[in-house]
Amino acid sequence: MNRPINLILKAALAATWLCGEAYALAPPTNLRVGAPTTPPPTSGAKPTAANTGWQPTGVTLSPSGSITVTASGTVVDSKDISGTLTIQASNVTVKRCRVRSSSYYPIQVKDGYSNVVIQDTEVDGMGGSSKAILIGNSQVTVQRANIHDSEDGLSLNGSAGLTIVDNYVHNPRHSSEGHSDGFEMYGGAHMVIKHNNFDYSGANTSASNFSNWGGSINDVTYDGNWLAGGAYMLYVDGNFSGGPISNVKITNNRFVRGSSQYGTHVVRGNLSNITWSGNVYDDNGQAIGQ
Amino acid sequence: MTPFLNEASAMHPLTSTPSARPGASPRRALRLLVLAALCQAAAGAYALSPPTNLRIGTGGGGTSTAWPSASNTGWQPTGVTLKSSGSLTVSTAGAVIDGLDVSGTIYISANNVTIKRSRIRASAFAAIQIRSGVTGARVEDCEIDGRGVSGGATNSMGVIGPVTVLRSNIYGVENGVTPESGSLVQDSYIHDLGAPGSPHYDGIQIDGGLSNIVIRHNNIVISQSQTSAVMIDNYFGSISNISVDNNRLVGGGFTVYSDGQFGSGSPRGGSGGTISGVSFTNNRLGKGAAGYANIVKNTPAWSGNVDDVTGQSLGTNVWWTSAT
Repeated sequence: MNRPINLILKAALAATWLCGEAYALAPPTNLRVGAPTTPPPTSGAKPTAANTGWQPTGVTLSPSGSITVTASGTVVDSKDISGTLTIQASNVTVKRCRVRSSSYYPIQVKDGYSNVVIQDTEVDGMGGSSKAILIGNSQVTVQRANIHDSEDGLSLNGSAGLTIVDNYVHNPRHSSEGHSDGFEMYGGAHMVIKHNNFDYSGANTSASNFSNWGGSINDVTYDGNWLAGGAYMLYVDGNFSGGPISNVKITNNRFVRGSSQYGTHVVRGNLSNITWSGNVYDDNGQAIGQ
Repeated sequence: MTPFLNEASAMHPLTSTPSARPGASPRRALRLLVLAALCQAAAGAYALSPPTNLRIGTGGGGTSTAWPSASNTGWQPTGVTLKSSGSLTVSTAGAVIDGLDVSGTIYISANNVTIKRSRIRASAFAAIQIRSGVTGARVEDCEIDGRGVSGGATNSMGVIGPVTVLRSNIYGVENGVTPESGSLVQDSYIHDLGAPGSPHYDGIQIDGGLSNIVIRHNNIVISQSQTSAVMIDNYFGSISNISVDNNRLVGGGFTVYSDGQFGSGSPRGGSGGTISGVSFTNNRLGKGAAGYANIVKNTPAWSGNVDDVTGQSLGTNVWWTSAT
């Protein structure tokens, strides 16, 4: 996979990809320009358009229609997907891609898979998508994605282990009846959400929303994120019928002052063992109490 | 209560056939228009809400033009004059309660009892309760007010038990109708729910251990961000054969649930059991705060459902499902 390659070979590979035969033949990562391969979570620069998505990698995309991945080990690299990307396999890597779709879910990872990685990918919901990335009960990492123009950015409901780091989620769109959340979880467990920029300015609900509408919520680390927009920027709302919200750490997050309709956050309802520390206003570091 | 039994039961053409409103005839349509003129009630309301026989197509979730509303449910459109009453216990089989204004509750313990063209205002567990095992209970053209957040009771029910509910206007309770096995809820308007305490609002609440229930052509609007227009779950046991067809269902957290998460091993406990034979067909769904449908550990039939605002078809990809 990492064999030497020049631009001619790359063009040939692109032609092969167009035929839809060689998703496993990824170009080597040494062609990347700009972004580091793995910026350290929680200590790197604030995620923005300059350091998320495919563009900073310098890759040239090749066009594609919708893709459904069903083979373990598949690598989807440098594709410009006009349509949806659906993952139904383990050990799948999606990197340096753009997915543009106004479908309900531009990217969906279905239930029951592990070791799925989505990185350096732009997801454009084109103002029509409901959830730009929907992740079911699978073990998934989403890193350095640039997610925009969707009602909701990331929607998670699994318990298989989720890692969401260094993503930029912005430019919410919503219908009159929509509830826009940069990140939403209505039941699930075992997830780490670190060092993301949830800029949902103008959204009607939140930058990030943990609500027990569908089930209990357990074992969440939400650390070092930037939040803007919504009625409240953050909900940890156990006032619904899905069971307790427990073992949630809300730490070291930065709230953009004045960006939300009512306030910075709501933490209430059926809760246990909620850790709240180090959360501040982004402009001056003023502490925000629970 | 005896003086009221059967009184004026033939006074009103709207109740001349049991299925008057849903299966209406052209003559019935004319009667409705004439009635509207006579009553001068909510001027023009009937003209704006034609009878269901004017519906375009059959069973299409996006095509019904006569959703149940305050102008075509409850006692008021029937033109009846109500008589005051306190709470009732109906223990005579075949009794008909007609045209009563009940301040209090109605408890039905006999078979084949009909409550019609009445108003029931109660701050109680249930405005109308039908004892489990009773058959043939009917609630038709009734208005039920549970008195809401300030005047009502916690965990209140509009109607609970094995029952056929038709053309009723239900509000001010925590849960509109809690049907038991064999029930039918049709052509009813369930809205403006409200109850004190920590309510979990459900328009229709089916919490397990139940089967053979039909929810058809109702207008259920939950203005709160929880819980649902139609709740189906396995908390009290297995579920089978629930049809939710041709309704307008709006709001809540998820607008509809078919949730098999309960049972041993669930963080929420409950009896658990299987959910089978649930169908959601031809409904207009107004998206709840969290989404349209919460579907966990079962696979209901799902077809012909559309978004209430846009009319856009809603496939099974709108289902939310949880791993916990």
